[in-house]
Amino acid sequence: MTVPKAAPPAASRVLVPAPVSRWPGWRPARATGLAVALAFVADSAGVAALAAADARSRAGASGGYPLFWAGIALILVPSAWVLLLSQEGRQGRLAVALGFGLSLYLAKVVYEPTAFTFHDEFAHYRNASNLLASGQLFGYNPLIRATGYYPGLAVATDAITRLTGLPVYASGLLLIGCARLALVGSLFLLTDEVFAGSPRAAGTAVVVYAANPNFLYFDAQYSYESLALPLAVLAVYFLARRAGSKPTILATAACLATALAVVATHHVTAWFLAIILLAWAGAAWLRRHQERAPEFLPVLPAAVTASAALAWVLAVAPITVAYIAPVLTRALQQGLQLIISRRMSRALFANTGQAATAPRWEDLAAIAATLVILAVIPVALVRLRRAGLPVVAKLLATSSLAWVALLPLRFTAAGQETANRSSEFAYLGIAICFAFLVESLAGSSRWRRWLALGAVALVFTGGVAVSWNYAQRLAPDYQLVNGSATVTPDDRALAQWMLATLGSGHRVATDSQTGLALGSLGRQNVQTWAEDGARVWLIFYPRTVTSQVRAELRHSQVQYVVVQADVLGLPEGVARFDDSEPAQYDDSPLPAASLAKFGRSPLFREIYTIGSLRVYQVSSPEGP
Amino acid sequence: MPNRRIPAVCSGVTIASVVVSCVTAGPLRLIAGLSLLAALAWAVSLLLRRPRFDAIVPAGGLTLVFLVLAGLGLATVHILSVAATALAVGAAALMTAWAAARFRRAGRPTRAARRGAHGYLAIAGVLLFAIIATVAVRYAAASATADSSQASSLALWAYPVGNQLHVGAQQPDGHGALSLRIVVTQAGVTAATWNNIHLEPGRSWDAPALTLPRGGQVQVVALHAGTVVASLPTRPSQ
Repeated sequence: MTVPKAAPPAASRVLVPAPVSRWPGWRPARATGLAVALAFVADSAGVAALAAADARSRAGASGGYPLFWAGIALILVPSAWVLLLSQEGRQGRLAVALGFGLSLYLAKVVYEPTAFTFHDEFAHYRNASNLLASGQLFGYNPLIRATGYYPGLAVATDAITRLTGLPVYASGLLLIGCARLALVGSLFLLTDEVFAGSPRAAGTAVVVYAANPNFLYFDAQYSYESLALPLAVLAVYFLARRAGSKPTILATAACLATALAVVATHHVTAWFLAIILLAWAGAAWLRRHQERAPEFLPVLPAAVTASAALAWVLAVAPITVAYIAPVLTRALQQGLQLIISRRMSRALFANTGQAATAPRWEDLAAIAATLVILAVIPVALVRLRRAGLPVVAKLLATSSLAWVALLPLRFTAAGQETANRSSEFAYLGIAICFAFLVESLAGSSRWRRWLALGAVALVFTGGVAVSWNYAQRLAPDYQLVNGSATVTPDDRALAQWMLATLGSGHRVATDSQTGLALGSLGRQNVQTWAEDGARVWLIFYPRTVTSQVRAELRHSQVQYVVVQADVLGLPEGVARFDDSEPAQYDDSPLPAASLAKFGRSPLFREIYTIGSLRVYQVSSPEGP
Repeated sequence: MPNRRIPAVCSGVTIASVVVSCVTAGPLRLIAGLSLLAALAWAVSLLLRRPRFDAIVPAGGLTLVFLVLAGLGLATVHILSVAATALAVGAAALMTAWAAARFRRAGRPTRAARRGAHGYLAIAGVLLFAIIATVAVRYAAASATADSSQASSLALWAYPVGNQLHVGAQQPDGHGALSLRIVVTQAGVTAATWNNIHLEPGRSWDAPALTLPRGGQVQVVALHAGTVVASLPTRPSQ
């Protein structure tokens, strides 16, 4: 198989100035090795600083945040310098880009190196454990039911677990780490290829892409998108050729296999890949007819990917529509409200219910980063029109407009999630825009290169600042944290006990965080509104066991009620039992009697206690 | 002939890894499993006909693609198992390695870039990165284990199965050993007592199943040095 070639003849490079040695008397080759080595050493020092920051946070000590930013700076600055400013060759830059991407992945690993902690990780753990236990695809997932119908991540984890004997957690870390390397490497090689052999543009694209707010934590978690997105970029890389020439049959076959793996792994990424390939085919067709340019038409990959993605939704995972549609509908409604009535439903940098708020400079960095991106996109797109780049490069750059279009949704409560989740896709285009501008403008003068480095560093800092809720950006101290705000060791102990003693698949009503542990590690069928239509808040909020409580127990066929007493300490305005519970419940204090009623009613039998957790067996769902 | 040397080594690693991962457990299986995956990636990189370092990314990516597609195939025909997975990965590695050898003979040979002093400097940096990052992750793991693997208190359970009651307790990791006395009462009358239950950290204790007559509130109390440390129900019924 032949994939895109490296090292073009110098004459074919349209953008890259010839490298000039800036170290008199120093052989460029040795400078290359030294710069790569120093970047890797700085990366490792950054990872060590991040590990120390998380350890301090876990121990409840101060100084975690300065260490966190020191670690980020150690990873960013030397790598960005090598990728943007140095005289490195292609291989040296690729090595540094891989080290940079891996170090930022390790930031998530050192956050919690012993167990899954993020919400979606629990849902995907359930899929993997279902597959390991039964060998059957599409097992029931009470946490996010739609994920069960996209088994790509679970089957890959299953293969690693079976081959190595590692637990699911370690297999997941290994898998997502490899996916991260594939993402960074594919983006580097793709950019290098479409820019006709420009490692500086490729390096710039990697650093700017890593500035997307979801890169540090969200897309480093054990989740289907974390695997699918790297494969989607890899699929595009297999087809991309400088000057829009045609890829080999084997490269096309590799793209098709990769696209099919994406379809079976994540819905939105599959649709994104299908749209990119269809748009590429359409734009290339237009270019071929208008300019009579010999542009490659990716008709087969586009048709196969689009029809496979559509067929998967229709035949395998129709639940996807019900899962995605409400999110998009709410975002659209609030976006229209924003345009028509100019009414914002969300304040920027709002931090509802969190103890700590981000320092002002982080907010300013995020705003400044947004302004820089907004300034770069139009300049890059205008200049790109005349550049002799392949269609796919221009198409990806144009896709950055989606980020601009979705930006106003940040001012809406429901649209914020959509705008945020689109970052990892839209930043591919933003990265291409920056790469083009840095390559075409910054190559000629030293101060411009330093300016480019400063702008990229600012964009990266702004991205990290909004990457994760400030109060949760460092590892939690379980001795201090409210047990209903995170999954605690007590939740894990209970989940393991329930699975070992009572078995799996029992219908359980509980709060959302305890539910994550029980639904994943405990393999219980935790009841939620989004997945089952269960209104568990009707079970918990009343002060006595009313007919409404009994009716909901009957309706949801609840077998066990698990009470986390720490929900009493949650602030008002935060959902206590279910993300969908009406605001009228959240906005008032939860009386202690609401939880104590389970211990007083003959309908419930207390069977387990640990810390602030109590398990009640519903002795008669029909009620006395 | 030199074209066959690398596929032969790759095949040897693959076959040995398949056998070891199927018949062993523990660290040996871990090494064999990782070697098998590495052999597949290596074989794919041979097929890519690019300088070795450039091939790492697409080879790694295609290995992930294979794991997804092969896993789906095996699960669809209901033969997911260690042996089936190892055989599938092993067969793919063997076929790819020998296909690469065949393509190479027919096509133009590729040669890895010659490694100079700069290459050794870079490799030293990568090795240092690997060592320091490993130490940092292990340090983070130790710090996290100290904080996150310890439940906050003794777990106590008493659940009915038919007309029997199953009573037990577990002392979490990170706490000291505990001597317990567990008393079961029904309607205020002592039904069973276990004295001198010694629980080491992380260990659990289960009482023999207890048959109790129907009716009457059952309460289970765990005491340490005369002090109640856990009870079920938490409060007596009113």
